[in-house]
Amino acid sequence: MNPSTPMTREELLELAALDAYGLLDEYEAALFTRSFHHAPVGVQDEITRLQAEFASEEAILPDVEPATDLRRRVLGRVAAAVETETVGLAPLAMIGRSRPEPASMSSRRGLGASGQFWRAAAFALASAAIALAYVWMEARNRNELLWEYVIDRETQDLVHEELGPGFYDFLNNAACRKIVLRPEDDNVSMHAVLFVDDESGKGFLYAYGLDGRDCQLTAGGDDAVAAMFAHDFQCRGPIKGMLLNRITNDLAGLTWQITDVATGAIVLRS
Amino acid sequence: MSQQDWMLMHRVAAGDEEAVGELYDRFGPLIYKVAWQFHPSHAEAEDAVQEIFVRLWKTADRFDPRRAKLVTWVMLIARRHLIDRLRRSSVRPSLIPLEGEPPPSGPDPDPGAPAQTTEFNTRIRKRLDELPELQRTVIERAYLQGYTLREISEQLEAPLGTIKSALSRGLARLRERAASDRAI
Repeated sequence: MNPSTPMTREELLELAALDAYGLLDEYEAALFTRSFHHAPVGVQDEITRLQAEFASEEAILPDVEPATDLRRRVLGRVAAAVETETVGLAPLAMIGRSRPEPASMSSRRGLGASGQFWRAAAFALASAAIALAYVWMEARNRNELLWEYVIDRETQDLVHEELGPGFYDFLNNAACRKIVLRPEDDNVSMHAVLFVDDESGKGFLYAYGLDGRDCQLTAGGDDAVAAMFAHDFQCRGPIKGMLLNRITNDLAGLTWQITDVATGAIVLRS
Repeated sequence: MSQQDWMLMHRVAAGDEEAVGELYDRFGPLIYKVAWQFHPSHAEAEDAVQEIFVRLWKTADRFDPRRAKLVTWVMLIARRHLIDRLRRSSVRPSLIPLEGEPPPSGPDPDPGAPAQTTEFNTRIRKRLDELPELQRTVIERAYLQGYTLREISEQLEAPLGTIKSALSRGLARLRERAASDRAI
């Protein structure tokens, strides 16, 4: 199997079960996915059908049934997780709903100078607005007016100031792939979205919460394989946006990650 | 169906309780079976199932119906979680002793379900015993015990390609055998 060329139908069929069971290493899984997307529609249908059959195969599974109240406990556990996340995002939801509090209240909350507080709040609002606009764009396909509805002029200016004009081009490009990078540690508030325009080979990274870090964005397979893409960048504020070149088709399906250069720790991963 | 599945997962991603309930009704029992296979105890398996559904909620917006059917995607997330859980606990399920290995040293199966455990082991053993030795060993280690293919390749001192082929062919044969059993 040559890593630079897509797998044949026979190779895809041979590895379909291993991919469905998550038994391929990251690099091979990425190659499998890339080859899948290159394959004719008929072969894709064949692969998805075969993988579904393997996934639902009970031939080597035990004949056990869950307790009847497990459903209730599962719903409760998910609801608790949703609640925890909602509580964590509550400050964002409150921004813009009420008038600014007197300075005395701000100082009682230990937030420091009110200017810093509102700048931080504005960053948070911009970040939330970007995420919201992204979701709306996804849901409604392309509708330029939505952006106007979702974000007011002032926030648009802030986003423009922080991310640059390139961000709008990628956000409004329905053909772009969006790769979401999530934190390795669920307790930290950071995220990133990589917009990729396969046609031009350009990309745009939007990241939130990496303030003060020197970072490296990489794409690759598992640890044994050298990164196939690497780009160093610095984050001076909460929001970071940058244009990227040479996002070639070879990178499709690979795992993207952002590493804190100082500690060597992976902080965000796709 | 794929459009409906996509909508379902978007509702799950939004934390819609009804959607999570629908997801559980469709896949909960199957996920439980796989969880029990990795953690042969009702308490452990139930805990794992709850964790898996939280993970499904967190990752629901990644589901791409063009790439896989929902059952494939759900079971992939479930298996990855179970393998991660297994590696964190550093205890591998040894439902079936491997060739030349000592008896199982993993956690004891749930004492509340000894009959199921025995029946399960017997049925699995019978099906696996019909496979060539390499295919059987690779399936036990990769599919049932969560070892990576690289680890198995090193353990057996066999090329990675050989391990992959053996696993792929073994799984296909198991599936064919199960289909013919059902047809009888």
